[in-house]
Amino acid sequence: MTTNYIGIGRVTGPVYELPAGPLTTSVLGNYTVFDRTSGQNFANSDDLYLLLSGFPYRNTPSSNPNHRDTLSGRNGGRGAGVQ
Amino acid sequence: MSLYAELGYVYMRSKYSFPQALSLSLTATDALNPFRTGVTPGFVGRPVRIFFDTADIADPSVFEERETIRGVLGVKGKLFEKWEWSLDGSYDYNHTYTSSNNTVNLLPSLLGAGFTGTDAVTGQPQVPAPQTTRRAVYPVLAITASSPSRPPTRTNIGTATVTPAP
Repeated sequence: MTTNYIGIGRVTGPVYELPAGPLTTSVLGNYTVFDRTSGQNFANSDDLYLLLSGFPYRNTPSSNPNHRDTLSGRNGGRGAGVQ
Repeated sequence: MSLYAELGYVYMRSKYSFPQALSLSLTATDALNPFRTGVTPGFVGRPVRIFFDTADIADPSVFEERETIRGVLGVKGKLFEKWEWSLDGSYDYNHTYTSSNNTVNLLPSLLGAGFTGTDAVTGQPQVPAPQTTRRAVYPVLAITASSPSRPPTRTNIGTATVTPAP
């Protein structure tokens, strides 16, 4: 099971006027909360395992929770095409 | 200023089964070995490996279910004359469930040597039941080949292949 909460804020605008058009920049902030839980469970017959090993079935379930908070920022520029 | 939203839902479910290749290695003196030592007077015997299909046990199967929910909610607007801003939040949820069932997987161990390791809880050596007891649970080569008049009720030895063991 995985859940993601992502918040993104962005401001975009021109910073320089080129002959072909405006050079645009964008500033972005990103906050992500990530959660993941995975696991396995097993079942088998005790009767069968007693025949095979002399012992009942030994289950070995597993669980692997994972949590991550990420705060990141980015800046990018873009030149406009010929208008 | 404007508001935008997006919502998505995906659901996938699958179920399938598949045949599993099973084999049993028999020593030259194994009572199940059709080429065993002394099967006819003076025959030396040789180890064989038998490939078989269990016609009366269901094939291994897998059930899988996946679910995804995704939502986005955002707002955007103008900033000064030529600048724009946006703020959005998204949420997504994925859930995958897989269940597999394999009834025949331990059959070669049941008919062969059993388990010979140590018990995970007690640390004591594993001691399988006598081979004759285990083989009585599923007499693998004892019963019927398939035929039009008598469908297979036990191991389908009609599809068994006997090859010399390496």
